[in-house]
Order: sequence, then C-alpha cells, then structure tokens
Amino acid sequence: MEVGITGLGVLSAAGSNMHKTLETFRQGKRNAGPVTLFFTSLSYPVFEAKSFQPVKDQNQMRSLGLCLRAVEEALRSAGFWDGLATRRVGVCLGTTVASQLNDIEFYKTYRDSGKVLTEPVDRYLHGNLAGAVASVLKTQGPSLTVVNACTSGADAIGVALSWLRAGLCDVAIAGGADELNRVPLCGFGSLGILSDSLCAPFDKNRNGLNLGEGAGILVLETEKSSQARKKKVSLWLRGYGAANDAYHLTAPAPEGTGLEKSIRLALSEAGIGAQDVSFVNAHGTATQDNDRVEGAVLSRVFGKKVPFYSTKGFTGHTLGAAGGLEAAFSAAALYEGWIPQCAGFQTLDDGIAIAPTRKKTTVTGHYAVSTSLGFGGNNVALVIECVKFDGAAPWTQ
Amino acid sequence: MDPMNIAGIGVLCSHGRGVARFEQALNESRVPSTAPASCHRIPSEVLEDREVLWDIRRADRFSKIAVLGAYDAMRDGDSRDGSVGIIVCTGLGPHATTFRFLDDILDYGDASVSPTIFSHSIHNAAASYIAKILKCTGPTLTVTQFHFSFQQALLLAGAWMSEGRCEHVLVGCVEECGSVMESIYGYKLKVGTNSGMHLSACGNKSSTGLGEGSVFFLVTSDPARRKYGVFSDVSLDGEPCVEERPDLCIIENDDATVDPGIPIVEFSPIFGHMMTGSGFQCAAAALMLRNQVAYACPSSDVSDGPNVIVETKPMAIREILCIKYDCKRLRSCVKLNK
Amino acid sequence: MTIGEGENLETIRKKLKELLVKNLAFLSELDPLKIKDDEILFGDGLGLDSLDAVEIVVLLQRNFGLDVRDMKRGREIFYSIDTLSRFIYENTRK
Repeated sequence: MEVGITGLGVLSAAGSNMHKTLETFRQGKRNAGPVTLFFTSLSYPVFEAKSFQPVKDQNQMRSLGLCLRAVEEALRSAGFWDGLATRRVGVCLGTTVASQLNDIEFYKTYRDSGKVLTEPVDRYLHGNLAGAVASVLKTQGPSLTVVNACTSGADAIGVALSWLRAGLCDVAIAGGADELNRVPLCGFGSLGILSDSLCAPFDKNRNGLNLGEGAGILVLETEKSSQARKKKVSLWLRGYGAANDAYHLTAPAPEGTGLEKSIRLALSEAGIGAQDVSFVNAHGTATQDNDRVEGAVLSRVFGKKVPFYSTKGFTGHTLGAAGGLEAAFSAAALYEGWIPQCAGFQTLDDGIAIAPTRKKTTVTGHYAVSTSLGFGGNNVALVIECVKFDGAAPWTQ
Repeated sequence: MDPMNIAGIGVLCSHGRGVARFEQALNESRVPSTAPASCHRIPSEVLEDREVLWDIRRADRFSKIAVLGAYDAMRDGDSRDGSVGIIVCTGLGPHATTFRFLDDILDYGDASVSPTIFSHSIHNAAASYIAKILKCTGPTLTVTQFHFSFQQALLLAGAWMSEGRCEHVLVGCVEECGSVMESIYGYKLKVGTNSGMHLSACGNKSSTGLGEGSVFFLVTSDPARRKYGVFSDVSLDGEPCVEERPDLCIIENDDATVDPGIPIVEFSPIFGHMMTGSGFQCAAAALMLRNQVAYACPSSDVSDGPNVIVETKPMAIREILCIKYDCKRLRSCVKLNK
Repeated sequence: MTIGEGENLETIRKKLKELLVKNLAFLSELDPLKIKDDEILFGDGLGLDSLDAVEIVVLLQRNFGLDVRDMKRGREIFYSIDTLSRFIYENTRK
C-alpha cells in the first residue's frame, strides 16, 4: 500500500513554520542563546523556539503546545483542518519530556512536606502527547506515544506507516515534539555531551550538542484516501527501517551495525538501492561518538560523494521532536531541490573521512533518507520519495 | 488482524517470578494483604538473578523488572531469535528513577547530577537492556499511553507481523511502584477522583493497592509454536470485538455491562492496579485457555452479581474477551482464543 | 568524603578505591583492598565504560570539588587508580 505525505508542520528555533524555516536555512541563521525558559546554573547555549507564544497554560505543557502548533500547520497544508471528523485518523507522536512527571516544584513540595500538588499530577495524567492531541482533534483511531528517546519522532512515523498499511486508519498524524526542559538539560550536561559553544556537526573540532525544542509533524495518508479527496500528492513515505545495536545504554555500537542495518532495511522496503538516494539528512548531533559512527556508516552505505548534512546546527537537538522535524525537512528539501549547509561544520575530520555540505546545495533525484540514532541503541532510517506535481507542496507556501 | 500465536509468557509480580507462580496465585485467588493505597511490591530477592542480570548490574529496578519478564517469555517460547521485534509499553515508566534524578538536582545542583541515574530515567532504558540481554537487533520500541498502552502495543505487533517487518514480536508491559506514586494514588483514592489513574475491579476495588511487575508475550505468526492460545483480535474503537459469544469475559471496570449469561472475572486484586494491567489480565486469560480452568474472581462475593466467577473450576473455554474502558468510556477489547 | 590538608597519596588511593566500589555498580562486588594501585580503570582493567567515566567526573566534583570537563584530558587522568589518585592529590593540596 502506498502512503503519501500530504501535510507538513514544523516549529523550532529555526522558524515557526516550514516557510520561515526554509528562509532560515537559506540565510544560514543560527538562533541560539542562553536559557531563558527556566532558571539553571548551566550556561550551555540552547535553541529555544522564541516564536512560540504559548496560550493559556501551554507553558506548563509546552511540548503539547509546540506539538499542537505544528499539527495545525500540517493539517492546514493537508487541507484537513476542518475535515478530520469523518475519517479514521491515527495519532502517533514521539517525545521524551512530555512522558515524565519531572515537575521539580511538585517533587520538592512532596519531598519537603509530603504534600501532593494535584495540578502537576493532573497535568501529567492528561498530557500524554498522542492522547492529548487525539483528544483535541477528536480523532477516532489508534493513538500512541513513542518514548524511544532521540529516535522517538522517526519511530512514530514508522509506527504510523505500519498502521496505515495494516488498514488501522486512513490518515495519520505522526512525528514528535519536545520542549527545552531543565531536567534533560542537567542530564545531558552530566553525560558530558553538551557543547559550550554552537554545535559543529561532523567537524573535526566538534565538542558536543546543543539542546533545542520544537515539533515536526507529517500528515500521512493512504493513496486511496488522498485519491478519494482528489488531493495531489508529491511526497511519499517509502520505507522505515529500525534496528537496535543491542550494545550499550548510552553509547552507539562502534561499528554502527544497527544504523547500517536500519538504513539497508529502509532502502529495501522502498525497493531502491543506495545509489538512488539523492541526499541524507543525518542525525549529526555533533557529539564525538554519534558523528564518527554515523559518518562511517554513511560513507560505507552511500559512498564518499553522497550529499549529507545535519540540521542540528539550526534547531539544536530537539530529542523526541528531531526525527519528526528532520523527516519534514528532508521532504521539503526534496520538493525544493536544495539542501541547506551543515551549519557549524568547517573542518574535515580524518576519522570520518566524508564532509557534509558547506553551503546551500542543489540536489536532483527522487529519494531522500533521514537517519536518527538514539540513546538505548536505537537506529532509524526513513526513505522519502518526491514525484513533483505543481501545486502539491505539502506546506503552505 | 492476523492471529498472533502466544509462544511464550514471562510474568513477574508481587507473588514472584514465572508463569507457575502467577498460575498458583490465580488458582488460590491469593490477594496480598496490603493497605488500600499501598503497593503490591515485588520482594527484592525476586529481582536477583545473577545469570541474567550480571551484565546489566547497573540497571535500575524498573529495568530489572522488565528484563526478567522479557527474558522469561523468550525462554518459555524456546526462542533465541535475535530478529524478534520488541514493544515495551508502560504507563508511568521509570518514575522512581526520575524522582531520584530530581533528588540529585535538588541536592547537588544542576551541574553535579548523576549521568547514570539520568540514563535510567529515560523511558526506553529498559527496552535497551532487553535488547542487549537477548541480543535482539530488530525494531525496539517503548510506548506509553495511560489507558490502552497494552492494547495499542498488541495492535502494532500485529501490524508488524502482517507487513512482514517481524516474524516474532516480544510485546509486554512493565510498571514499577515507587513511594511518590503510592502517595499520589493514596491521595486520589482519598479525594475520590480517579482521573487518569483509572481504578478498576470487580470485587472490592478500594481494597486493591497499586501493583508493579512485568508481563511479556512472545507472539508469532507460526501456529505450530502456539503454547497458550492466540490473540485473535484487538479493537479500540468502541465496537464489540466479535459477533459470537465468548465463553468468558475479563472486565477491568466494575461498572461495565455484559450479557448476564456470560461469566465474568477480573484479577487486579492479585497483582494490583497498573495502567498496563491489561497485560496481566491477558496472561490470566491465556492460562485459562491453556488449562481449561476458570479462575475465581479474587475478593468477590455473591453480591457482585450472578455471573461473577466465585469459584475456581474446570471449564471448556474457547474464547475470552478482555474488556477495558477508559475514563471517557471508550472501550477496548482483546479477544483470545484457544 | 573530604581530603584534609596533608593527606598523603596513600590515603587518597584508599579513599578513591572505596568511593569507586561504593558508587559504580560494575565494581560493587570488589573488595577495595584488593584493587591494585596500578589497576587500569577501563577496558581490560576494571572494565569500566564511558558511562562510568562521566559518573567519575561527578564523583570527583562532589567529593573533592574537582572539575574535569575536558574528556580528552580526562582520558589521561582516568587511566588508572594511580593516575587518578595523583590528580586528586595534586589538585587538592593547598
């Protein structure tokens, strides 16, 4: 069964929608700064989504707020904003922060006095990301929150693909959302993988990642459904490959066996070879381990000349949102025919041996691969195809 | 949905580890004598298994609970297949470890927290350990949903198998009960709102404490490996699963209505309330199908209604429905057949 | 754990071994007294890994007030019980 991508929605430090994000990519602007969302003694630069103005209590449930904003853009561009009620719609979203009761004030009060503050608890219990979005949209269909750390968003898209193929729904809202939050900031700091400066993916002198926040959403739809509503479709989700390293809790397998397996599975599912791939939107967090392993695998699978880049230099690492955002970026880049510079990259690392894009680069061809690697040994690759029709851009131009 | 044959089960709860222990608890209707709001905790010695856990001795309690259940399901299903897909579902995840990490932030400040504790506070740490211990390199997912996690996970397992992504899937639930969650649960009971935590039971619901444990099913498309029956349908859209009449229903909510002629039962008093308790109910269903025995509803009496099973007895069972409603009265239904 | 002025290298080594055994699960069954002074911490030595390395950073911070953020330098410092003890000794002397 063919599954089209009929809507895209993104929100991050790089822009409040796809149009503005592409403009940021064109200009090479990097909107990072110190943390302003909460108090912390840590001084790492972060990518906050400054354009996001939360309404009502959205700052308390920021991940959900970010997510709803991207969902709205995606649904509007799909032509679905008012028209979901009669369809079977699945909601599958990845996150990290929205799945945890990590409210420090709640916990401090409990610890100091034994008192249970009900508001944070209820907020948490009503804030299951996919459940909350399904409830807002009143969708009838499967809903599931994927908590697979940094591959969550990409895995959520894969789950939605399986649902559509299995006939469990006709339309799926899939991707991920995560807010910048003090708890993971402290955690990533303790792991020694946050950079004091702007991140430099795949660079010889890279010294860690910058955290970011945002949401990236795809509207996926069976061909039957899009045909029935006479929706022109340019973009197709052709393959999802997922594999676990079965190696270590926090470190990727040194040879990148899981990542390679996930890419080969996704290519095979799409029925294409590595030579058919126009470019790779890499995970590229700018940590020593990730970029070394990923660079080696990309070179092994796609050869030394494949155009690739990481968008983390524009968005920061948005954790559960990253896979969703980057799938959307890959789709938009295929449609537009250009990929951005790998922001932050300057010097080739001999240990990686291939270099990402140094400037905005024209691409031709029909297929893109987006990779995600995560904590816990998860590896995901998505294959997207573009067969361009005028007037079928899956985002508002 | 294509039928998913249950080739192996691993289960761990306050009664101990393994299918036999669980079976015994069902057989004897053993309800732990705990205060209403407290937890049916797994004794610490149950989580000691040097052979299985040695390589991951750094793991937190949540991960160990998960790994032992998953390991046992694979062993029970006599599988060493590294291509098996893994789906772990949880309602509350490793919240006890999350709170330990918050302790670190409060006690030592943002710049001096433990990376080991942080790593284990991530929801998918347990699945990562399962993949490592079982050497599984297939897709490995952790999912969460407060009401129908297990049902959604089963649906996905079915989808993976029908599209050929995996031949076998290890699908299961894990919950841990920490002191903070115990307090939250106690508070919710006191104020009489079950918002989100969804109390349920037939029988005396207020006597049932929180539960913890893990239950995993090794499911396969190969009918020759069927050991406990088969998951033949999962429905989440409020529609009844089947037209035909089940021999028995497991009803997770005591205010649910079913045909008064169908025997009903519910087992949460045995293992405790868990958001993913449906996994344990389904394990009980699978055992009833294998053993052709209807287990009595724990802590029930005749006043619960004429069709509640009050006595454990042999019964010809071909089909069981496990039904659960969420707070908004949406209905889920898992159908198991012999 | 604090290091008083004039504590000698020997005392620091002993305290370090106890600290590591107490805090790192992979060493929890070892007897601190039986760990050799020149024992290598990672790989074929005590078998510690990258997560232990960052955990040791926190242990140094909390127990000795020492900051090792540069992991390239950390690699030399964290080579063995001896190198780490020396680092603590040299950086906690008044």
